[in-house]
Order: sequence, then C-alpha cells, then structure tokens
Amino acid sequence: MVLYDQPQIKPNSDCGLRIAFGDERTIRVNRRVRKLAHLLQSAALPGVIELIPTYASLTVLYDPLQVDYMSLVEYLQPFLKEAMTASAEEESSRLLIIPVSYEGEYAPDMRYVCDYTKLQSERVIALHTAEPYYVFQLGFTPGCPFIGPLQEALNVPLMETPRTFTPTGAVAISIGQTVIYPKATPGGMRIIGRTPVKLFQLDHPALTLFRPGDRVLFRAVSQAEFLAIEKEAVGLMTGVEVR
Amino acid sequence: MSENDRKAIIEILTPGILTTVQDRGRPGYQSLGIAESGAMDTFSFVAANRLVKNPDNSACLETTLVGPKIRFLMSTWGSLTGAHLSARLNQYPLNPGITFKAEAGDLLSFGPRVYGMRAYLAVAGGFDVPVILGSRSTYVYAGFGGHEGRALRKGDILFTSTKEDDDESAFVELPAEFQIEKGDSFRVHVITGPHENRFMEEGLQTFFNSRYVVTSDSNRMGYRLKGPKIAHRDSPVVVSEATPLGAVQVPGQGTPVILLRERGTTGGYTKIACVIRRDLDILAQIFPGEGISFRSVDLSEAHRLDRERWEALESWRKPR
Repeated sequence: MVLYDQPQIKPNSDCGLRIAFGDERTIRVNRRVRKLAHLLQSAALPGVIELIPTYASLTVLYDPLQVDYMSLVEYLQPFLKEAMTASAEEESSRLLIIPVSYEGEYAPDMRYVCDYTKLQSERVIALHTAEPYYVFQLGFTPGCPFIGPLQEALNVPLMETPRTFTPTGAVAISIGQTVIYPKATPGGMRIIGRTPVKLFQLDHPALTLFRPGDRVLFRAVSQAEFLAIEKEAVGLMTGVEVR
Repeated sequence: MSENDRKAIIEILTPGILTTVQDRGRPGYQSLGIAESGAMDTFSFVAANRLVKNPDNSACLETTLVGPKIRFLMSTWGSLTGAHLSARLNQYPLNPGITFKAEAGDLLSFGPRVYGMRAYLAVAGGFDVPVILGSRSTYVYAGFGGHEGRALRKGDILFTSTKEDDDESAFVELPAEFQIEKGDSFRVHVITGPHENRFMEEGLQTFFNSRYVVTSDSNRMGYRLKGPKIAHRDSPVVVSEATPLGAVQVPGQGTPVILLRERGTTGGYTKIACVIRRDLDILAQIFPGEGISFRSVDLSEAHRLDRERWEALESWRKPR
C-alpha cells in the first residue's frame, strides 16, 4: 500500500504516458486519478487522443506526430498539482442496487471461497451484500466494472490457471476487488454469483451501466427472481434500482 | 453521399479463416473497456487505400492466412497489400502491393501462404458499413462494428459508396520498400517498462537476449510467445492499469503475452515493455512458429522510426 507524495510519470508505450498517484486499490488514490481525468478532459491538450483512468494511475494516450513526450509532461504540471488536492472523502455519487443470485450453478467457486475463508456461504453472501462498494474503474472488456474495496474476510487469491470461459454476468471476487464479467471471457477471479442485468448497451447513450465513482450495493435474489429479471433485461438499467 | 449511391460491390463465396472489415480503429473508449480494434498492420492497410486513392481511413477487408473467395458484383478498382497469400483475379496472379481492375462477375481467390499473415483488400470508395462509435472496424470479441459485428460468412454482400469507374486510378505498384518484411525471425523495438523494476536483472536479460516463438494461441487479442522464462522479483500481479496496444505482459508462468487490437484494455500483470507503434505492423505479419526478439529503444528513436516511414510513404503518394 503506497500513496505517492508526488505523481510519478513514465512512458506506457511509445504513445502513452502513465501518471501514477500510488500503488494501492484505495478510494483516496482513485479520487486523484479521477480528478485528473476530469481536468484533462476539459483541457483538451494538443495531441492527446484519450485518457484511461484506472485504480491508481491515469494513462494519457497521445500522438507523437503531434506532441512530444517532454512537452506533454510540461503541459500536465498545473493539472497534476490540482489533482493532488482531490478530497479523499467519498463524493455523493449515485447508488446502484444490483440483483445477484448466489445460488447453485451461479456460484461455482462458492465452496472454494468458503473453504479458503472458513466462512459459511450465508456469511459470504451477507458480507458481499452488506454495504455499498465503490466503482474504481471500467476496463478489460466493454462495461466491466472493478468494484471494491472488498472486506478483508473475503480476500481470496486468483486462480492459478484462469478459466478459459466465465459466463456473462458472473460476479467474482479476488485480490481485494469484485468484478462482474459482462461477456463470456477468460478470467481468473472466483465466481460467487451471477447478475441478470446488462452492463453494456451499444445503442444507449451511456454505453455502460457503471461509471467510475458510482456506489454499488449487491442484493441477494433467488434463482426465480434472477430468471424473471433476466427475461426482462433487454437494456441498461432494467432490474437495477438507482438512488 | 446519398443512400442511392450505395452499390453492392462484392459477395463472399467462401469466407476464409478470419476475414473482417477494418479501418484504423476506434480510439476514445478504452476507459469503458472497449478496445480500439482496427487493422492489425496499419501501414499495409493505409498503403492499400493510397493505391486506389481512397482517404487513408477507408474500410478495407483484412484476411488472415487462408483468404476468402470473392465475386465482384460491379466494375471497380481494387488493391491488395500485406501478406502474400497467392491471390488471383480469375486466373491472373495478384502479387501484394498491386492495383487491379475488376469487372462484375470476376472472382478473387486466395491460395497457399507464401509469406506474412494478413492481407488487405481495398476497393475504390471503401467498404460501406455503419460507423459505430466513430469507426467501421469489426470488434469480433464484443460483436459489433464492421459487417454485423462479426467475421464475414458465405453469402455476405458488401457495399461501397463510390462512383463507378474512377478514372483517376490506374495500374500502379507499391514500391518494394513499403512491402512487408520476409523471413522467419523478426526483431521488434520496444519501450522498456513500465514495470521493469518488478523483474530480476537476469529476467530483463532473458527477455532482451532470447528468441521467442509465436504460438498458434495468437490472434487479434494478443500473441502468446514461448521461450525462456522471465524471472520476476516477487509477484507478477500489479494494481490493474491501462494496457496499451503492444504491451508485453509477463504473467506468473514467465513467458510473454503481447496485447493487440482486441485485448483487454486494463490488466493486472506486470508489463516488461511495449512494442513501438511502427513495429506492431511487423507483429501483425508474423506466422505462428516464427521467431521474435526484442530490442529496447528510447522514445525519440521510436518516434523517429514511426515518423520516417509515414514521410517516406507520403513522398511516394500523398494522402487524399
């Protein structure tokens, strides 16, 4: 767990630079990342192609035919200073309540998690649905949210050999975070449930259900309720309660 | 251009292994987990468009290893670049880097691979598929973009938006210096890091002094390499962060994975280096079983190499 005194800048490819604010999965670091992303979004610096905010760093992709690395680093300085002033407090962001079935076939790794954590499955579910988590980043595949921080009691390691296939909507935990796999994909996190809601919709203006900074509360539902929502869930927000 | 100017230009008789519509890709959405997709060999893709005097970003077909069989439905100029996959227009061989004039009913077919991995077919006016999030590229994994979000199939008909018989085009060949490299071992340049400190010194030595082989478990998402294992200092896991195009990840098992056009946009494994933009095009043409080695360059060298080739192409023919 490290929070840097000064942001650390280094190349991340020959057309990207990475500004790291720390080396930890915490809200205090992520707030700085997101603040910098917002500032740079409105600044529209020359040669900047896109911004990729993640847990603890922001990667700025640029076109080296339009701007060189050293100039870009210079342009960034005032924004870095301002980003360091981001409050560590959670902002009043929207809360999304997401139905999850933690039953049977939807939870292939529940037994492993129970064995590893020495908790009953009821206790695992109670912890996972206890309080709102925070969305740190989207990434990996379209609309996939990285959510946390996970309670210490639920901290399980990644699989040694990742699955080649995780079902759509699989809710998985590992290394202090929880994700929802939006589309069948390889994955190494431990699957403890599944949600019927849609995470990505091409013809919706938001494109993705989640945004970084959202708060998320998981709600345990029966398999019957899961199937009922699944039948209805044709677009973003179906089956999701927003507060 | 009005709807009326759309004309059916080709029909897919057999699709080949993986033939998709691609342009230069879909930047701007990686923060939502959307990879940029796009042509794997950007330079050959652009060259194909310049040959038929298209704007540089006009959509082309990218075909992989075993090419399709295509029937032309109208008269058009076309061009082929990239891999040598023994293409023929009717019975006439078409070498890479050539323009051709096809008439309605003509057949374009492909045969055995001679060298390279991916070929690009441009037609005057480009292939007209819907622009989705700013691009015509097919994102096969996510199922959108290109033609119905998928690889082409038998019976698919593609359209173009050009006027017929663009007299400005002509029979012309792409100069040899713009053709792809041949060989069975390729050197690519990389920017070291950002996680170089997470490797043992001998791990870095292994990476830079070894020949790796591209495995058959390689595709538009990424290439898995086999070869000497790279030693980490401790854990191969990092806090998840952006994985740019060309990032070379080294997961726990110690052999590199190069992340490409349809990769996950973030990743939680150590990145030892990132292949420079220019050399992604070399990667795109490497056939499984062929070798690859890595050489570190600094940013100014990487940018110089990138700039020079575009300037050279422009001195041959300016973009439209």
